[in-house]
Amino acid sequence: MSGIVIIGNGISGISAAIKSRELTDQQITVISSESKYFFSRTALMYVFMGQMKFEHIKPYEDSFWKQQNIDLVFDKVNKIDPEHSTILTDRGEKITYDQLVIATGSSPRKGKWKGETLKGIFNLYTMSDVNKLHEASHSCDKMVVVGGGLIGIEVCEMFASRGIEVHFLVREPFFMSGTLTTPECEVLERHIRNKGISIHKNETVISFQGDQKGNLKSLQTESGNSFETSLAVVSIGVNPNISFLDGSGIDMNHGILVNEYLETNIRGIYSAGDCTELRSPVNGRRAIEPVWYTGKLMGNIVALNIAGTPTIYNPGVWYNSAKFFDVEYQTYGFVPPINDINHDYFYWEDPQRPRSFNVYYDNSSEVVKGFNFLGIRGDHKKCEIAIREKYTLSEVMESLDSFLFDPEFSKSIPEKILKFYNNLKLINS
Amino acid sequence: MSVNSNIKQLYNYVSLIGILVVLCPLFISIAISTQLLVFGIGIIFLSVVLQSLDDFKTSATGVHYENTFFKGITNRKLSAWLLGISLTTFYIFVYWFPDLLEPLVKAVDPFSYYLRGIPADQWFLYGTFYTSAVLIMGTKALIKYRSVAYHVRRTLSVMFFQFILAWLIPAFLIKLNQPEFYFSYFWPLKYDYLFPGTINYLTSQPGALGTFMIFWGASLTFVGTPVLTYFFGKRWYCSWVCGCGGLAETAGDSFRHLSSSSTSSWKLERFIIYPTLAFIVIVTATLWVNSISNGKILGDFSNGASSTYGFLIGSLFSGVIGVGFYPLLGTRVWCRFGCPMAAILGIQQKYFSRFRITTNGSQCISCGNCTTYCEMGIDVKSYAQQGQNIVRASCVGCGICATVCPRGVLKLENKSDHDRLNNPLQPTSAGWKMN
Repeated sequence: MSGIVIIGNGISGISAAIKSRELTDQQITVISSESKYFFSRTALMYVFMGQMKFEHIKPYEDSFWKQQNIDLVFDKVNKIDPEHSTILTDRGEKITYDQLVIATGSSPRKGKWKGETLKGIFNLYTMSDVNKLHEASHSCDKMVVVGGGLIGIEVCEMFASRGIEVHFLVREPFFMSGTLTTPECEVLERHIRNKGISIHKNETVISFQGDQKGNLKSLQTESGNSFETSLAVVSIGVNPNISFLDGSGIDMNHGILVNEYLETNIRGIYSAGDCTELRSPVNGRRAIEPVWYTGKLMGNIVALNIAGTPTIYNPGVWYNSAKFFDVEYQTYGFVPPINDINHDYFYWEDPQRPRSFNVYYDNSSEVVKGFNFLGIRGDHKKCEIAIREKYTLSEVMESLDSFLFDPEFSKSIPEKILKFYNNLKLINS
Repeated sequence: MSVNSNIKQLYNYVSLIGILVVLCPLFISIAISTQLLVFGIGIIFLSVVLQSLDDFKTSATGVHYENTFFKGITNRKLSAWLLGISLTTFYIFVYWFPDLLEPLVKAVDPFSYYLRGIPADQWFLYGTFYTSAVLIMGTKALIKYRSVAYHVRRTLSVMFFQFILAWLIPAFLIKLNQPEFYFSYFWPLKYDYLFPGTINYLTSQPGALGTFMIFWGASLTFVGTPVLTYFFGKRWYCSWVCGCGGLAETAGDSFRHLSSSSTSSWKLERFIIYPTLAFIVIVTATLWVNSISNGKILGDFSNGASSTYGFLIGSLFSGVIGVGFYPLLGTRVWCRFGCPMAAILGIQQKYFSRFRITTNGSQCISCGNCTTYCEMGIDVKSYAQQGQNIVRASCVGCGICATVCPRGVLKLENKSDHDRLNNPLQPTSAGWKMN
């Protein structure tokens, strides 16, 4: 084998493969030890909830890969030998490459707690995690979610959909308070409580207790509280999957270090996605960004670079999205959770429904820095243009309609926001 | 939890009892069949409403689809097969063995006399059941989708058109000694509305109404339909007016995810729907040739062709398979594979319409909800994940893809057609280029 070899069939690796096929006739091989076919990890929660089956979360039909002439190998890579451009797999295969893309992703972070290996403590990352959670859910009527991030809230929704009592342990003073402003956190908290979830804030786990058989019985927190449960799901972040590269000569820190072309210190070896650490991130972005959108763009950029179109990785205006039960969340640009003296928020909240709109702007020039949407859909392209081209708050308000992406017959939302904005201006003047 | 699920079971049993009460005159001769029918439909309505209020009690802020693949009836298990077989049997009786339904026809006699002034037949019975299904399950849809204004309006619209234009008005027309006419159906779906036989019959009617009906039908087919489809896409008809669409969006709503979204089913769709359209166009044309030439050119051929179409397409396809197979093949089998009206509207929607589903930048996470819940089997996600707008002939604009999307990526639009067909996202050294 030669040509382009990609380790990992998540969104980053698959994006690199599909884009490469568009650009070259080289042989393309994708190796994965998790599943033969690419599936959308973000959709695993819906399989657990019976909203879709596994077959529905495969974005391409199984026949697609043959049509595209992309070889899929279901095997685990143990070692990379850059000197001979070879990788070694679990099954003892030696695969040579011309260019190598490492897109091995990440795995759930461990808390280094006492009792963390007890039976009944799970993560949500792989399809096999979902199967395990499915089995375990049959014999439980109460469970605990540890970690107040985007995965944690998905786990809450998953178990609530089965009528199981959910206790949600959040380390911060509010769920999402590291990302959202306090009024936004309060909108979410009310909504999550309405969905029957018990949120326990300012709670940090210190240990897990089991019975004689090694089954989880309870967990203890720093504040001295104890939660009786036989099932806990831990979601406190992820770490890059890079340990198999030890001794390969590839530079690593927390992740695989890459330059602005996403190339490692070894020519012809690239990295994309969760396992990647940028040597010099731009635009205030993080060096490691374990986010779907980042992985997708990185995979595409790697393909361009392999195909001989040198393209730097510059993700542009930050954006991300999530869903908290019924409340969709979108963010564009920069909206910090806490204000500084030079900036202000224009914040509108619907008193009747869980939705809010937040614009962060420079208070002297009125130039907009970012948008947060909760329960309202924002227009990606428009928000990005506004931030890049330094729209002022009043410019945004003048064409507010075009910033929203809500379905037809939702005219009342921009009307309410504008009314609020005009009243505010009247008071201030 | 167990108490709760027992109550849910209870609703199902009550609905089932309601159906048995309605159908019992078929099995035992009984004098109060009309009362049983009213009582049966009443308790079905009540139990469906109560069940929906319970099932969707958390839907004030969002629409929910969880557990769809855990329930046998919506996951092609035994109960789904039983329902499919029962529906199919009913259609076979209605079309070919109406005598077997005689006791039920008798039960709707009083309504028929009141509304139409004549005794009931199996078609009036069928229309009554059909309309009841749209109204009862439409109420369920209103409860389920109450958080989304688009679905509320669309559902009220199909309920209105079915109840008033496809049930009450045709009945009143008969009472007034006028031709039975459905103002919400047009050629080529209602294929005989442009047949020479129908036109001759309507012109022969005393008064101006018959002439108006011809004018109405022809102008909607040739003028109204293209104009409305240009501005709104085929959805103005398929998911806002049409009775077939009305049943699919109400009674069929729970089965929408069963439509296959494979590329091979898309091929099959194009292989069947356009020949069906050609079939009815040819049948209509030959009937006119025959009528004008007094049968000299084609002889009996055109009548044979028209009755073949009536049997194969009008009865077998649109009824027996189209509705009978809801729980197995999904709700829009007829609309997707067979309906010649959908074929014409689709061609226009693709090439000459403002309608499209816009994709929101590069927000798609390829989760697959849109594709799974598309009743037309469109692989919506294959466009969305590339940042491409969706412009497809078959899209009926039900809007569920936009609702079920967890990231707000999709939006139905009929703005001016600038940018309607956009290019896929391109990766650049400044992030995604959104075209």
